[in-house]
Amino acid sequence: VIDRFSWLVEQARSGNCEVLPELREVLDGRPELWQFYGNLGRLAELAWIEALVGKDLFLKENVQRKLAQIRADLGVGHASPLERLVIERIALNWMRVHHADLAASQAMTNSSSTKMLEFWQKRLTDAERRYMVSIGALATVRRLLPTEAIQERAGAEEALPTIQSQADTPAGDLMPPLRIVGRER
Amino acid sequence: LHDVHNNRCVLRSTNTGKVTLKPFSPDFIEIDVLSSGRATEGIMAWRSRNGIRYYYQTTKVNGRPVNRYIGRGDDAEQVAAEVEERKASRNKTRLEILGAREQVTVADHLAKLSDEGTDLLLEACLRAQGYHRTAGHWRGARRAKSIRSFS
Repeated sequence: VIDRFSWLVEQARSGNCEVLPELREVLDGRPELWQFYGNLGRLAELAWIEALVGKDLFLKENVQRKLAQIRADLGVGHASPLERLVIERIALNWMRVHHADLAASQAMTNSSSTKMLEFWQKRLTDAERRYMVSIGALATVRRLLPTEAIQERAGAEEALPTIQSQADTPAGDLMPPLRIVGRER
Repeated sequence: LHDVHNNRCVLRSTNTGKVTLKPFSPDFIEIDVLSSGRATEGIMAWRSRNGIRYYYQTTKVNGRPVNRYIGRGDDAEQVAAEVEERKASRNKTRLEILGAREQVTVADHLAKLSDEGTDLLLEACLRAQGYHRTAGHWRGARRAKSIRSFS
């Protein structure tokens, strides 16, 4: 399904209008497509949480609450499936920015070498760029695609990973100072 | 290069220059990987003539390695120690960067896949609605509107 889907998008990209009905059909009738990319985003999120907090479960809980707050702020509760995917991506990129930011600060505090500082600075710049691109993507979705159309299209609200509703938690106040934890050897 | 603290070895292929990180093995001791792969401050720093060791410092002049005679005695030992210290510092940094990169490799890869997937879905939805992309901007609002009203 994924290969066929990629091929259809490729054809549409090159201006082939004949594939559009099939593309719509795939988007309409294949909830597993949305589930696949939703799960991929969830896996990436777990990997980044581990990179950010290591084995500290308290920090993990706090980061997860912060992510839930970000999602809630972006209106994930009444978003279309596509919007949800983009919101997940924004939350993921928020983590990447903070990971690189913390690591760069630690490298500066630990008087690391210039090369090390350059490495983290480059990663930080890259993460910030991705973060801005993902915010731009959400703006594009909301501007150009009416919510009802996408909801009908995907029909896969239950297929997407469930998002914890913890909007009321003042996660920002609970966040303890983070530090990058190295992998256990 | 043996990272004693983490008990790992950095191996650099002399053919491809590719660097790999492996658990330490005593077999790796004999492999002088980093110095053999680099022209500067290299393996021929001490040269022996008539049983006396002389130190040569290798530097780059206009991109070409040049051996500078330092001599023997305390001065040579001092220069050699400084060079070794610089080399150790560079290797330490290299190991740190490798370790940091290794720590986020999986997360980076998954995030990249997720990003690409979301982009693909976004593009598919927009194209299915009749939009097209020109110079990075999505256009075709009128066509999209007519498709929506038709469907």
